[in-house]
Amino acid sequence: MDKMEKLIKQYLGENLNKIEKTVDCLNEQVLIDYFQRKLDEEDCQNAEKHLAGCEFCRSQLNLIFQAGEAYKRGKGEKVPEELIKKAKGLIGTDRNDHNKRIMRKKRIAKKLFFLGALISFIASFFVPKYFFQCLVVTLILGMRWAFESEGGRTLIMVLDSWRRHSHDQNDEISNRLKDKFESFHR
Amino acid sequence: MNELKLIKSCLQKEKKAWDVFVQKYSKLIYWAIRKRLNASGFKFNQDNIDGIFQEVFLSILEGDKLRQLKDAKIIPGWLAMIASNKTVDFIRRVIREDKRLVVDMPVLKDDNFRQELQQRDLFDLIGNSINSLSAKAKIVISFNLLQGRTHKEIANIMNMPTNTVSTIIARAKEKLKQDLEKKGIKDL
Repeated sequence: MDKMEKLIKQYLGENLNKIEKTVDCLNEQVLIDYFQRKLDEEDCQNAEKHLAGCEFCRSQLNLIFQAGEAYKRGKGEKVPEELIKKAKGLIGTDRNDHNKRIMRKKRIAKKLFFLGALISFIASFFVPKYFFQCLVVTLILGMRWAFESEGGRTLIMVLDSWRRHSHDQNDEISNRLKDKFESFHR
Repeated sequence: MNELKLIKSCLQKEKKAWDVFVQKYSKLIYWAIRKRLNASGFKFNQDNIDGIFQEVFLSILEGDKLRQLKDAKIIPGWLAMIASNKTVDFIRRVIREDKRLVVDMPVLKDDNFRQELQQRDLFDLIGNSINSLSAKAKIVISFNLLQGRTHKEIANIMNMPTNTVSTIIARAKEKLKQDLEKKGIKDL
């Protein structure tokens, strides 16, 4: 390395300590697009204008380049297992499994309610002695099934809403139909 | 698993995909954090790295930056940049909280004072000369002399032929030499 190179390096090294990210710095997407040659000519020139005066963005660009190489070659020291484990734990296994277990239980319970209601309903015909008891059991299990299932809940909500607003909506619908027929006749 | 599918599954919080992702990119993220910390001159310890490391993965999980990813090749670059930015944020936070200086400025001793002043004058001259170079030449020179990138690597980064990079570097050096010689510095 000649004296000239050494001097420039020293000068640039002096300014290295002044590395600072500012509000004008290129955002990640622009840097990535610049690196992948996806910027149009004008944006490319603007990016280069900024890069020429910003050591931080130049170092980021250098990092993008080096990261690809580092990843390919598996560069870098070994990461402590504890750290990896902790990072993996950001999506918790136990919690997920617990939620899944609860969901599965609910699904099975729903099926059992429906099956029980069906069996007791059929049984009411075959065992006339306990006809009413079977019907009551059918009703209870049927209600439980209806309340547990999404469809049942939705049906209840629709019926409830219809019961509450049926008169208003009926009037509204009939008025709309009337208007349509009148405009059609005209 | 396809890299982009892996990222998508991670953003959908699928445990298995996340475990694979963490295992695959931990080393790279760790490397990027250390690199930025070393470059900043910040006095750090293992706890700092551990904290930033978790922050990076959390931001990947919660942020939506990776959603924009369309090219699997650039994933390492993206992750390294996220790690670097998180590290810079961390350093800023610590400086704000502790009111500490990032770099210990050297105290000038009397013996070295004259030499230091001469050096500063020389640096001012070099600075003026470098500032008169084109934007591309400045970037190329910085990559070559400061970051230690070869001509071929710079050609890859800047999307230009290697010969052009070599020419830019040679011309820039020649120009700087001439500028300095004009100012009376001839021993170069």
